[in-house]
Amino acid sequence: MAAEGLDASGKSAGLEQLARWIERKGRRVEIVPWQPSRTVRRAAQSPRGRVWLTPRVAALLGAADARRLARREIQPQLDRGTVVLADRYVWTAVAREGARGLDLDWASALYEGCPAPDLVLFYRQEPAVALRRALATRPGEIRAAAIGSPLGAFLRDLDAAYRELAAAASAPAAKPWLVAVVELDAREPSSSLERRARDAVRPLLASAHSRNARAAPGEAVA
Amino acid sequence: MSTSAAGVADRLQFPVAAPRAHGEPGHLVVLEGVDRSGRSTHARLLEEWLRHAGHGVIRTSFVTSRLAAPRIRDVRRQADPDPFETFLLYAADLTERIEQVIMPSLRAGLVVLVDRYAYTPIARAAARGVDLVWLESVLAFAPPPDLVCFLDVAPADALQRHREIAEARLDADGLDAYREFQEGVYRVFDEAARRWGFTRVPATADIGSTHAALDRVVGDLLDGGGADAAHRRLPASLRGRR
Repeated sequence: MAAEGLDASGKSAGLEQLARWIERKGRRVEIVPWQPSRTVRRAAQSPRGRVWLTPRVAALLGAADARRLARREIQPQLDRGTVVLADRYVWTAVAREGARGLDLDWASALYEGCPAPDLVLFYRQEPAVALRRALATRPGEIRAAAIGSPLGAFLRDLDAAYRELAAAASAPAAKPWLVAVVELDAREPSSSLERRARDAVRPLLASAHSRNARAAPGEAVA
Repeated sequence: MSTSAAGVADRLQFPVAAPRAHGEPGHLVVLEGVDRSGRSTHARLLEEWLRHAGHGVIRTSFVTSRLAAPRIRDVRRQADPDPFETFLLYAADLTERIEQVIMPSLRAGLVVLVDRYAYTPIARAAARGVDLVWLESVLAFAPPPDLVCFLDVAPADALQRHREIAEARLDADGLDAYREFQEGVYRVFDEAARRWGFTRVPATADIGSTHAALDRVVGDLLDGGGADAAHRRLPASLRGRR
């Protein structure tokens, strides 16, 4: 299960509550934070690296590092039957590429090698609120993500890209995968958010295994 | 992989070689072929020869980007490299060179000689079982070359050329796996040569005759008459004696 959304949208707090609840149900659970690509970050921090780090190069390098993270940190946990709660996952990366001006379908396809979540918890927040929080908690990272474009506009584009991904997630041609989405708005009372998240997760815990028992789609051998 | 390359032909998105399809004044000339097919040697020879014939030339080769190349070298050192990760890094390497070297040079009207283009990472990952349609879609934005010269050497013959090197690096199992992999790559190239618009250049003979064959096809593209014709067009003061 993946929690996606802007900063200050309640993802981390929501996941903590969910993790404790899943544990009480007797399942092993692990929260895996999304790690931004080290290759991209290093390049973004060097004056010469920034010249070469165009949106398309950044997208490909980021997807390579994401595939490594998914293969090393996430897939082994899933194989052991652990419930993995990803604190930001592929949508976060794809929305960022979209906000940098790349085609969402193209950017999504880069992540076909990452395990498909059984559920996306889409946490909504106002871009202006998200921007204040991002500047307070991770200013370097958010500036690097924007690669030089104005932060306010970048957060609005990011929000638009998330919403586009959410709207397309149930279409048969959804990229990178067809996935169930539950939208959780930060302005709702937390008790209602918690209840709605549990309602969405409950049927998944009941089914014996996740769809990630199978290989990633792009890996299918002809 | 042997059936899939032909079976998916209708759905492929990667641009095939076609003169002027990139819309720039320069020429994009690609050399492809399995390891030790003589690609790099011939790319260097061609570069000198075209320059001598009065063309502005720039040559760019695989894994020379600033950002992706160090990561690729890391991955190659691993025992069991992941074909997905490797492909995405190769794609990043190529993309950086497309953006920084290839497109600006094409705009400036140069002949851009590319030692391995998008076809090598696609063929390598396909030989390791990754879906060909997905691979091509990732690199579908790459500018279509004017000409792709496929240096056609059977992998067994190519391997023979560096048997000593390979044997020093790999044990018997490693050598078998490497041979099998090279044969897989060759099969993808061989089956895709027609769809991707490759020009086959037999490269089993000596360097001189392979170079002559390459010079002919590249010359035909550039001025319809080979490098000799271009040379004849130079001002007399620059032409000298040949």
